[in-house]
Amino acid sequence: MIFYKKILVFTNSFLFENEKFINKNFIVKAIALFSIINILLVFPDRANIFGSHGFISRDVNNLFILSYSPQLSWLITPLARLGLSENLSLLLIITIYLMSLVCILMDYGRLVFSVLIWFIHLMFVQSSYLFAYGADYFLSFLLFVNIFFNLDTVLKPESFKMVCSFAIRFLQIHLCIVYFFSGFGKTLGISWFDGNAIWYLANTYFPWLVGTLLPLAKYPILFKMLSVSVVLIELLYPFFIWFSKTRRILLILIIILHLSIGIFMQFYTFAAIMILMNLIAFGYYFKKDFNLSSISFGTIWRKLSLNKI
Amino acid sequence: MIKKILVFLLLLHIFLVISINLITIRGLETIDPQILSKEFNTFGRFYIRNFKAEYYQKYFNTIFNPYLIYTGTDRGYEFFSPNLMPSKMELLFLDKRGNEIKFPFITPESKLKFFSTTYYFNGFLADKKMRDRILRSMSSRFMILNSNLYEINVHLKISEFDNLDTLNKNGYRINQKNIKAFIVSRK
Repeated sequence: MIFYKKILVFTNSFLFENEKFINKNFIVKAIALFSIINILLVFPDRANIFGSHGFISRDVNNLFILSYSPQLSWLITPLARLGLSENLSLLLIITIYLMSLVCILMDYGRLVFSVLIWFIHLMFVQSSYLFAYGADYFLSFLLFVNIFFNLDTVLKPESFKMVCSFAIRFLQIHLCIVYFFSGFGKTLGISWFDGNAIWYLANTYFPWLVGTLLPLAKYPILFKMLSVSVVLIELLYPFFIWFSKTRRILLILIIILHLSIGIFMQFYTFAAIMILMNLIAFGYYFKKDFNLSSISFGTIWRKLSLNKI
Repeated sequence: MIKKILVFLLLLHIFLVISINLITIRGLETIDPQILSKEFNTFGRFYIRNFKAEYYQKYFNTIFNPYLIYTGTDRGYEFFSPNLMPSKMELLFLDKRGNEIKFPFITPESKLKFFSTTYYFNGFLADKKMRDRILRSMSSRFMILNSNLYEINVHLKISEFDNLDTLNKNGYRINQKNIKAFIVSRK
């Protein structure tokens, strides 16, 4: 019974009393800014990617999505009945999306607009199913979490603090699952253990560097060390990110990993969103580390052990 | 009350995201059994053969997919798992005279998105119906953008790389194949 109560106290403290060092304003604005850049990066190619007669037509796209998946045709079809061409409708939707993000940046109607951008972004992703990749899905998730940080208009300050604390924990736990399964999938194969994964990655994604890597290929151990360390970082992340002594090094390693993905594989957006998610989820600990009154795992347990329940 | 809702949401999220990842990995079994024995290590083969999830998968998708879709977590996170392929496939679209028709993507992000499309397309090479539908869709777009195009030849440019062992024995080489795969005509 005492153990059960301790678990309850711990869960409560862990999930709902962690908001002190979280900079909600920074989080909301960073997500909005990232989303603006993200949509502007595909804006010139919107018709080729999202159009019903784009490279993947709506008919083909519909084979991959479910009827209840948010899709641009939900808006484009009724707008067509009003006489708007598809291109104009698409422009209108993107404008609404961009304006909503600007409103969030200007602290205007943040809750309504955060829900709107989350939904429109889902429409973009589902309407371009074969074009969508990791960065799009992580942004969808981040925009979902972003809604929690904008609940201040409808919640009392105390409840809002609780929700913010929860949102950060939600993101942290989600990242732990993501990295664990990313590492776990790799442990089933061969190429991540014999180093060939890095060699194949180089040939596929950064062939311009293969010439430089060729002399190093005489030492397969280098490739092996690199690929095994990727698997290890991903597998160990969910465990060691929680300890103050290992958190800093793990966060630096994971940021280096994503920077490498961005620079070498040219997955810029993916790298940027993963770094942003990590900084939102765990970056605040560094601010916290400088404060003596911080609430870390250690201090929570110390408080619990002193608690006479 | 808010706390209870949030805890429920967290537990549901953990359960669903772990489940979709287990299912996505389990989906790897659909590949050829010969490849399974070659490309998976002992642990991988053990996992794939012993984690049975057919019913779980069937009901899971029906009930929980909406949550996963709406949170952007429905595709799993097995990036480059379990192996990387020792080959790269590119789609080449050629006009009747054999000139390459370039994809009109302007920004690096759009080009990267199209690279993802090619990656998914790899998975449909054996599925003739789906493969043809995707290629026809791409060709139609080219024909919309260029009214002078009446016929498009689609080639698959496949580059195969040696692994590190073979590379050190035989030197660096890339085996490139250019396969004329399909012809799409304007109807």
